[in-house]
Amino acid sequence: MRGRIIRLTVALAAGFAVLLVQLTNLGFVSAEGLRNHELNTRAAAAAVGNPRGAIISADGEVLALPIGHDDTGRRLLRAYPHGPLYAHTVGYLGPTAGASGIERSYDSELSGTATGIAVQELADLFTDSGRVGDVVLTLNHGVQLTARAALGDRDGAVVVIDPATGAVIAMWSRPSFDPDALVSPAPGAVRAGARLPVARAYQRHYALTPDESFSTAGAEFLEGARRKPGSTGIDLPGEPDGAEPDGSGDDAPVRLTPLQLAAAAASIANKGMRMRPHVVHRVDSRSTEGEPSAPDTSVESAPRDAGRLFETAGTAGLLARMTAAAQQAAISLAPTEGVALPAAIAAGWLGDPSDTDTRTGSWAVLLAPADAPTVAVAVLIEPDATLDIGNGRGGGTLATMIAATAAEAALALRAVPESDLP
Amino acid sequence: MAGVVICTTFAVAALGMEQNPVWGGAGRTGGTESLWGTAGWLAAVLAGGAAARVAIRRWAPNSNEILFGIIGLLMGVGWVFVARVDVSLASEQAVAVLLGFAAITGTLVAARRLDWLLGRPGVCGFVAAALLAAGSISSGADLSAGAYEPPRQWLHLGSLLSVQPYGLAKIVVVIAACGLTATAPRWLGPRFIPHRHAAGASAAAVGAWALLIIGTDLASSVIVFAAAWLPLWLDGDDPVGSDVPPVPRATRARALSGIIVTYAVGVAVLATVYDRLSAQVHYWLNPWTGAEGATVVDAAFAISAGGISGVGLGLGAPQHLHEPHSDFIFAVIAEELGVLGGAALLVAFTLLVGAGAGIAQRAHRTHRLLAAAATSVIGLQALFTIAGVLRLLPHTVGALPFVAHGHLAMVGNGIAVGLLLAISNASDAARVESQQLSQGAP
Repeated sequence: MRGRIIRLTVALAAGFAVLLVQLTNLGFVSAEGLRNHELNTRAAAAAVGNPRGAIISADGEVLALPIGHDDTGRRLLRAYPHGPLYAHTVGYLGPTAGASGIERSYDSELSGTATGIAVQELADLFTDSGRVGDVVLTLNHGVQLTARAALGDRDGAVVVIDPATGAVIAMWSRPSFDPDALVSPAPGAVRAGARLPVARAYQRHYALTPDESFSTAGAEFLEGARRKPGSTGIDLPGEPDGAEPDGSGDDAPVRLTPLQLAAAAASIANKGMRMRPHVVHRVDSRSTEGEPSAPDTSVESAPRDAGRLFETAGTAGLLARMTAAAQQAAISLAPTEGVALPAAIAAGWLGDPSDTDTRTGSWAVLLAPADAPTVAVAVLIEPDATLDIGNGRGGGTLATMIAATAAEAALALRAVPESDLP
Repeated sequence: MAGVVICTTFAVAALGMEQNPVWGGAGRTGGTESLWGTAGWLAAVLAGGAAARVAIRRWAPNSNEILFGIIGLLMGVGWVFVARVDVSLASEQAVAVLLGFAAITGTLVAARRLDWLLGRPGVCGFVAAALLAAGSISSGADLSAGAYEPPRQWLHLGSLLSVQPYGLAKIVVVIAACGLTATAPRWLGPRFIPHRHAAGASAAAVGAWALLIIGTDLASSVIVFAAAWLPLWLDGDDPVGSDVPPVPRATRARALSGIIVTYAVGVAVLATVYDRLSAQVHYWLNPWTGAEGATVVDAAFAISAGGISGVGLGLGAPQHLHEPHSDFIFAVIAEELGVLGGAALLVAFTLLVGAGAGIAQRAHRTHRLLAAAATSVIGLQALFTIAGVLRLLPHTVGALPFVAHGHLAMVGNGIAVGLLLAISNASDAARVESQQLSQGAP
């Protein structure tokens, strides 16, 4: 029996040694990754009790704001006045639900812990600076509303990008969710994030096929767009690195997110260079003491190029073919009265090109104005068993109409003279 | 010494909680009173420990010195953490710790009748079965196939006292199994003596399956199976029952390993029937889905927040953990004291197992069997519980011995420690006597 007792003791001691290895792994080796894990709500819960900046649209609409104190007189809760409209971009921040979107990726700026905000002068190194950052987005409230209205009650996404800078002017994903429902400390909200709908605009890849009967521009466009299948580098958390390969060989459908589609379209307008899409325009830091004051500093996001998608020599030809496709489809834009602008389009179906059922999903990209595009739009409509997606008139017709509506709203902004801008 | 450590832990934890930004906010668990308010209970815990120490000096003067030091430290520090996680549990857990000390002392006093008890395994077996059945039947848990939350086995005795009989049952199972192993050859017919290992282990497997069917969680079933199986395995080439012909090694090994495989297959079959068993495995293999049952990721987040040296006593955020005062108390300790604090706890349990094994090696026959089996059941319980928290094994309902919140578990573990101390005292007294005899007779 003595021998067996020794064996048993050694086995138990070995077991405890394995526990020690795993403890070290969790507490030290992989601790950094665990602290930043998307399911980890600890940092968000700690942030709920602290002052925090607002999130504001490019045209001054407040999208996320601290609404003051709760009944214990201590915590500042978060409110999202526009509910689901910006849920996938702005995200949410709640004591039990955690954080997502801008609330997550710009947490240190919003809470004022980022060095550029906390330290404005030498004295700030030694005192609690009491500063927070307001995050101003590139999204325009009017265009965002138009995009949502144009997509209507269909599931899918609309993305509008400024080709020159990569600034995202509108990004709407349907279905969305209500961030205010996640902010309450109700027990049911724990890690609800994992059960929320993914952002169709930048988190889901779709198998895309061009509509050959319509124009050759679609195939040519997708051929270029698939050259950079990885993430676009947008300043939002949770963008997938790449789609799983869908079948093999060149005939396999191209798998892209609507954001990748929009960025590819934008790069045609930009002589083949793709700008990194971004939703944050600038961060204004201000003091939390006293009356709400003007920002003391303001840090703008610099446009960054993210590599070449199309050969410069080829972009003019492709743009011309896309313009011809738009003329054939009788698409032109009238952002303001009396102005008619030509557009350039490419469109097609989701999935199998031979499946031309009217309920098949469709996609479209649109550039306007056609001669020197200042707006790039991508629209994606998911297949729906109950809705007529409107493809009876050709692949992506409805998607193209939606893109045109969104583009008109964005172009109307450009029509405002520079001197009238604040 | 242990008392000083416990007092320091308490004071630092109380100070830390005053500084904790979450203090007073909505994230608090338990009441609103400060940890300082429980200092009276700390005094009671310390006095209980001192009284137990005196009792051990009185009734077991030659017993192992290390064992009680480790146990006292674990119980005291455990009390501080339970009180720190939920101040309203401070009194309840202090009573549990006092009951544990009383169990140690009581067992020492009663240990003179240990051989009487070991000679009557039927009585122990009946008591164990009654305890396990009481826990399972009274738990009122949802045993339907759709329930994923393992039942917690609370037996509600009136409004004041709620106990988990399983905590007490496992040490009774150990005593019964050791008694059976020792006495079986006496009352088994000569034809069955060679098959006694297979028969005993089969009974263990059937009993452990029955526990799963009536609603016990996986870890408890495995521990009860191990508590019955280990004495048979330990009873190797020199059987404890006197004048028993040893069973051929190969026969014995085949029987004992065969039963393990049979038990495992049975558990796998039951897991396909009961979702609460397969759910435990499912959440273990797929913890990152954000599902509500996957609470074990919170333990990983807590430990990662602690880092090497911890966030500091009282400064952690146990409100993020599911059942932080029992299932995940190890994660609370690792968050506030870091990898180093968690490692200290692991070392303490390793020392505990080592001390127990040392006591077993010096004891004789049935006592050796009992000491070894009791030690390894405590060790296994600690191992399974922490492995569940660290995601090395499926997380099941398991309380860390001596540390976590619970009454009867503390009593059961106290009885085990009392037995170890009594055995250690008896064998050491015998050794001293024989030494004196050999020195006295040149």
